[in-house]
Amino acid sequence: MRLFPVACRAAEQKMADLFTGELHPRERLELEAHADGCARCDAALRDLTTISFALDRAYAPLRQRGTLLSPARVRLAARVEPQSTAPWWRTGFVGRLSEATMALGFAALVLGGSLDLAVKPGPEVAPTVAAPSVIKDYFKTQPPTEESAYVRWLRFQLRVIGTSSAPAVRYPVGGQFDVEQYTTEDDWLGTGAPR
Amino acid sequence: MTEHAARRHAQDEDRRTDRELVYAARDGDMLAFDALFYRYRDGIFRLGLAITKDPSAAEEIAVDTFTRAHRALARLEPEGSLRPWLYRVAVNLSYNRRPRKGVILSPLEDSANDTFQSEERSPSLLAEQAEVRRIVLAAVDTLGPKHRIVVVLHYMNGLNLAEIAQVVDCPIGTVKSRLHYALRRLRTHLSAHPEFGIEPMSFLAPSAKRTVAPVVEPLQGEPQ
Repeated sequence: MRLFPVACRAAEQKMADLFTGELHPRERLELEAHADGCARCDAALRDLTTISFALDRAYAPLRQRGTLLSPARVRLAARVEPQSTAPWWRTGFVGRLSEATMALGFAALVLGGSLDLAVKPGPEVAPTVAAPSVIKDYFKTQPPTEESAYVRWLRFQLRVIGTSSAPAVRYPVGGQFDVEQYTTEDDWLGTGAPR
Repeated sequence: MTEHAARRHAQDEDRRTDRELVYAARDGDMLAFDALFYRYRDGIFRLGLAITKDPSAAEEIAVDTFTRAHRALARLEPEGSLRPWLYRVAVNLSYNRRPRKGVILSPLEDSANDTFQSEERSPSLLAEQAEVRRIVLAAVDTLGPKHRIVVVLHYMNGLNLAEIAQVVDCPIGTVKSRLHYALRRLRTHLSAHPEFGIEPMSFLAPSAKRTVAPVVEPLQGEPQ
C-alpha cells in the first residue's frame, strides 16, 4: 500500500482525529510515517498520546462512581403525586365521601359502645321458683266434688289412661279441666245439669 | 407496589428506547420516567462531580436536571437518545452553580485513592499514581470552561464527537478543534512536570524552530 507523505499541518489534523478514535487505519499509517521523518511531529504525537492516556487514567476512578439517588427526590422536587392504584370507589370525591361515612359510622359505633358500657348492670336477680307443695299436688289429683265436674274429670282420666303418649295425669288450670267443653253427649247420666 | 418492586420494574423497562419512555412518561407513566432516571442518573452525577468537585452539589444537579426534564416532558422530542439534552442541562446547571461557602470540596483524587486501595500495589506506586492524577486534574482545571467540558465529556463520560457537539450545541469540527487545543494546552502545562517525560516546546534547535515556525504559531493560538 502506497502511503502519501503528509505535511505537518495535515499531521496535526490527523492527531486530532487519532485521539477521538476517528482516524482511518490507513491515515494512521501515514501519520506514523510522517512522524518517523519529522522530529517535532514525532514528539507531539508521543506527548499527546501520553496525555490522552493520563487523562483516561485520571478519570477512570470517577467513571466507577455512582449515586444512590432515588426518583422520589425528583418527584418531590417536581411536586408529582404518586400514581394511585386504588379502585374508583376509593379515589376522588366518592372515595372521600365513603371515607367520611366510614369514619362517622366508626365514631358512632365507638360512642354507642362506650355508652352501653357506661351503664352499670344491676345485681343479678335469681328467678323466683315457688317451692313445691305436696298438699297442693294432692288436692289437685283428687276428683272434684261437684257432680258434672266429677263426670268430666272421670272422662278425662279414662281418656288419659287409654293413650300411652299423653301424661297419665293432667291437672286442671284455674279450677277447670283443659279439655273439651261439656256437650249434650256427656249427659248420658241424664242429670240435666247446666253447662 | 412497593418501592423495590417499582425500581425493579423501572430497570426492566430498559429495553424501551428513550423516545418510547418519554412518550409513556408524558401519558402519566411514572415508572417510565423512573427508567429514564436510572438510565442516566450516574452519568449526570459524574458530570456534575467532575465540574463542581462536590458530591452533594452533583446530586442536586442530577435532581434538578431530571426535574427540568419532567417539566419539559410535553415538549421533549428526542430523535434518538435523551442523553445530549440531559447532559446539556446538567452542564449549564453545573457552571451556573456558585460554590458554597465554607464547604471543603473533596478533590477527585481522593476517590481515586479509595478505588485503588483494594488493589495489591506498593504504597510508592499508589502515591505516584495519585500524584500523577492530581497533576493531570489540576492541569484540566486550568483550561477554560469550553475546553474543559469537552475534555470531561470525552474522557470521563465517554461521549464521541457527535454527542459532544449535541451537548455543547456547536459543530463537530468545533468540538474537535477544542479537544485538540485542550490537549496541546495540557501538553504545554504538563511539560513542566518531569513525571510525564514530556519534552518542553523549546527542545527544538533554532534551525528546526525556523523550519516549523509556521506550524507552531497557529498551534499556540486560539482555535478557529
